Amino acid sequence: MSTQPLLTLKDISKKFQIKGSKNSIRAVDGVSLSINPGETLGIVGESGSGKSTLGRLALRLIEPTTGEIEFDGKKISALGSTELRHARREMQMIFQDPFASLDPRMNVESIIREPLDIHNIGTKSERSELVRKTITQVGMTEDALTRFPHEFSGGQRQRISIARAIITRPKLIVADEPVSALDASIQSQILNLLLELRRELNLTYVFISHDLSVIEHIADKVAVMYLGKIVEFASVEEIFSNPQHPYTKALISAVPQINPEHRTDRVVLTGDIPSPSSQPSGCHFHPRCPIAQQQCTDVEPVLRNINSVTHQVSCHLATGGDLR
Amino acid sequence: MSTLKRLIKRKIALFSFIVILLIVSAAIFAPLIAPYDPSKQFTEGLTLQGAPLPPSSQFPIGTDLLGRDLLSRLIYGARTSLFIGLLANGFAVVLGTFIGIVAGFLRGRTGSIIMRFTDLMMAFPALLLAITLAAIFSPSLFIVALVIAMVNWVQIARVIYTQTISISEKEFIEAARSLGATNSRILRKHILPHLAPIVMVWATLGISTTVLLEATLSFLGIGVRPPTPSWGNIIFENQTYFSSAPWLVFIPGFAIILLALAFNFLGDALRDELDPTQRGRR
Repeated sequence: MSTQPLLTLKDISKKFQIKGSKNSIRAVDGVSLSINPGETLGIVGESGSGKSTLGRLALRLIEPTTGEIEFDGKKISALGSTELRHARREMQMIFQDPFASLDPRMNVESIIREPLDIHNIGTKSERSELVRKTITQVGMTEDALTRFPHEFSGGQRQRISIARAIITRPKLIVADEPVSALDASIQSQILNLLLELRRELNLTYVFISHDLSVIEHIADKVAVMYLGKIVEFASVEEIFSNPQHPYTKALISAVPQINPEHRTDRVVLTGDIPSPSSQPSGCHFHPRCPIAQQQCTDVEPVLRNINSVTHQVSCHLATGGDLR
Repeated sequence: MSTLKRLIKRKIALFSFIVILLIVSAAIFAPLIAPYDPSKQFTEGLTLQGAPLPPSSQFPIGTDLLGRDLLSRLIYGARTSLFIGLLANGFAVVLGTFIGIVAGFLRGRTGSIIMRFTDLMMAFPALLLAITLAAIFSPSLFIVALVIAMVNWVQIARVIYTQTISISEKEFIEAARSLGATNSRILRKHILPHLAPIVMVWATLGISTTVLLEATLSFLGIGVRPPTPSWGNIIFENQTYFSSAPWLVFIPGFAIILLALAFNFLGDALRDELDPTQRGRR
């Protein structure tokens, strides 16, 4: 594709210093990514893999230790604080917990109107017009506007935060596990709403989730993260039909299948994700890897193209074919 | 429905509000209501043995140890006590809230330095500090209020500091930041509204503490100077007659309790009203 990527991350790292210790945690370790306009990038990984940190780094809600962020032709990583605030109009975030991300002391109207107030968009009457339009766009009614967040269910609150995120007509939305706090039945409603909005408003999503079935539903491309690094990157079809990294395979085999004929043998990983403060040598995944060999403990693999330029994997043993 | 209307609906809050209103108007209109000059010593105000008089038709709640009309002193004393209570507590709340928010919001080194300083202030025995300060400045009502404020702001700063930190870490603050809100907007729109109930409670609770501290200082001779009456120094002046004329202590004591309780109940009701998640419950 010749289109200019909307968001590019170049070699982004984030170290968190541990208080009273010389050790630091590499939450995100040298990640490079790019997302084209209109695409949805799914980021998937266990808890502790650094996926939420990566999402926050992309919006510079957390300052990266190293690396560059480019968004819509602007170097976000080089902006001053005022310029960064102005740039936020174009890039919004939807948070995981709809019970925590809405100020309980504000009514729904002020919550949804806040981005307009902050960026001084429109007159007073235009703002309330837009608020009313947006609340119906996310599938709620106008009488919700005078009420407070605690009066709504989780799904409705997430609709409110979506309304807040889309009201400035952003180009990019980072959604950090937006459905994982919701019931399964509500999850699909919210996912469908996000898909609908993407089409209507021509949005680009970075969609963070630990749930591959959710990612399969919404993403175009998938980045699989393990211990702060991307271990596999491919289109959603590639990831599900031809996963290369043993970690991806394990994740996919954990997705419940409705049709028993489609069930494959589960790859069960033993142990937990290692602490990012004491990373294993070589391939970070080798202590849990079912097919690890000597070189995996010694040499750290790099992300390399396999089969096509759009399928990248960081595993010595990946051949491009089916390893199973 | 406005906050005021809802407040009136609550009986205790309404009752407290009336009590405060009565005491405040008694203080304001003291020269009109008080039967006598509060400093006037009546020769008929004492028994032949020199003891205070019990309530009579001339002195509705009796006389004090110097033969002055207790009711008049009580009414004029409301002026002093309210003035010091409101002023000192107002100072303390404003200063404590400001310092607490600044330290809590800035965090890091600046926040730590500010809080170590408040810890230092806290380590002083409050009374000793008040005595020292009062000894340095010659006592006047204003100075007494200032001294009390200097002692009382510390706890408020502590409470506000920890609350500011805990609110700052809430996700909706990060959400506001992700929307592009300035620090000042986050402070005004998202942190202050959450602190308001706590400030409110301290603003009302603290009044009882300041009235009592004023009484203590007055007793030690570094507070309100006689013959100016305050509820505190009425009690302490007359405590020697506690067994023979207990009303001299009980009546002003009751007034202090009534004022303190009224402010507490009002503060409670106000806090509930300011919290939208509590509205309409109970």
